[in-house]
Amino acid sequence: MALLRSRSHNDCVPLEGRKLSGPLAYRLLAVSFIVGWVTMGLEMVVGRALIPHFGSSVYTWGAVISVFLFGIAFGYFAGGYLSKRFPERATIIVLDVSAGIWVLLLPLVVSPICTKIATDISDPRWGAGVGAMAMSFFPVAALSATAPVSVRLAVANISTVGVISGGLAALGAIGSIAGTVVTSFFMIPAVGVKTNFLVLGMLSIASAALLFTWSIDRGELVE
Amino acid sequence: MIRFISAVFLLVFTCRLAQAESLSTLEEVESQYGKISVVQVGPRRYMMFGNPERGYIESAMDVNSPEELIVEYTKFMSVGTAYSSDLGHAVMIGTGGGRTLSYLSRTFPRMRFDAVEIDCEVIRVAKEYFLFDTIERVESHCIDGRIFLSKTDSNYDIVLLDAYRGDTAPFHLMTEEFLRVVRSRLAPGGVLVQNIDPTTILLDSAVVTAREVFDQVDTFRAGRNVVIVAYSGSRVPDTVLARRATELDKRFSTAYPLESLIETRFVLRLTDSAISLTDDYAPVEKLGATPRVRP
Repeated sequence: MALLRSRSHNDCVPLEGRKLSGPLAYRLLAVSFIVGWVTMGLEMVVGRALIPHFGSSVYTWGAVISVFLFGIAFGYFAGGYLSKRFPERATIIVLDVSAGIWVLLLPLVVSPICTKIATDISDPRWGAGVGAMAMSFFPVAALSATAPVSVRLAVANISTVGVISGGLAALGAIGSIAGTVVTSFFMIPAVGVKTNFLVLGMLSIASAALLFTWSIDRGELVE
Repeated sequence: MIRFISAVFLLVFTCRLAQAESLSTLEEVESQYGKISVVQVGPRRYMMFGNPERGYIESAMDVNSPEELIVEYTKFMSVGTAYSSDLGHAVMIGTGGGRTLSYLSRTFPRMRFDAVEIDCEVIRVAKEYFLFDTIERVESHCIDGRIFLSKTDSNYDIVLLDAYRGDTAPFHLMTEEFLRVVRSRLAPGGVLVQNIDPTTILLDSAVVTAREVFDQVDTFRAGRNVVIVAYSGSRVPDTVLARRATELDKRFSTAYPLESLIETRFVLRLTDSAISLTDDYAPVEKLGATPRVRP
């Protein structure tokens, strides 16, 4: 088996008998947790930001939730292809950083964009949907696209695919719970919408920094 | 999550109706915003949110004398008439059973009203059980109050704001940005009249926020609630207010004389930590959970 280490291709093909190294697994799990946190935190804050413009009707929340799930679905789908084409740590870094930058910029544009949409679209249901789409589709899709890439990077053995993808998904869900609870119970009562966007944007970038410090040397993937 | 409807506060009626005698449930309906029940105890009929056993009473009417205002603060919602330069057009955000509107419509026969209520079921229930459809010159709109005011072309002499559901207030109807929308819809000499629960520091924040947007914010002790009147220009002196109130009482034969209602005007001493609420930061749930001494 040792001979197989000297592979020349640029792809970390899972090899029989090889295991995931500790540091990478933990970092990818941490990234999954933070991505879940940021996604659900963003959902709460985006809803809060839309209400003054589109009302506090059930339609506003319905529109926000639908747009987020659409973003997540698109992100998973696109992330799957990205994991095939770019099975690199850099893919996750780029996705997390670009989502983070987008969210950091939201405080500047939320009010003008929503005002414009609320003026142009008379039905608040469509208005809230379009507003949520404009603000959150990209970052949500980018964050979700990290999930299949993480699975691709973390899996070193076909027999552990289930364990690893299950673990990543579970950590993502736990992060989502934490993000929902902390954002709605503590952060929104404590600081404003804009500050919340900044915190979530920085968290997203921090998750990329987690991977950045780790050497991606393929050697670490094998024992 | 965030809902609004005209409401009487929990503290106004802490009675558990289920324990009372001869309670009958006339209707229970699940709306988009929660459960609405209509119950009757003797001659008194109540609109409630939540389960009848422990819900919030949002509206009350005596079926034998439906013209009577049972809930004390609703009488005080009429004090705006003593401030406003004209009594032509008013809008009420959060109508509930429509008792306040019913009184105003009967008393001021030249006035037209827009009744804005987010929950269409509340309007239906109000029509069916609270004689809402007997109110004259009123047009009801089933839409979020802020959206309605943002889109309307009308100018109002009086904007009445009573948008609570249970003990919570929708944050987007408490902010400076919202009050600027209200101000932009006021006719010259128009006023905002708002019902506020005085048992939490949300009262202080509501007053501070209104002061950011309006030149004057007067406060009235209204039964167990506080009613504020916000307007532009200089403060209306007691003597002028009393004179206008007396004139209106005489001219319109008010059932609840403005002359005595305005006597409860008082200067509210604000909590030091009171903050102005904005769309960015309006922690209404937190403020609404922090008790204060009733002024």
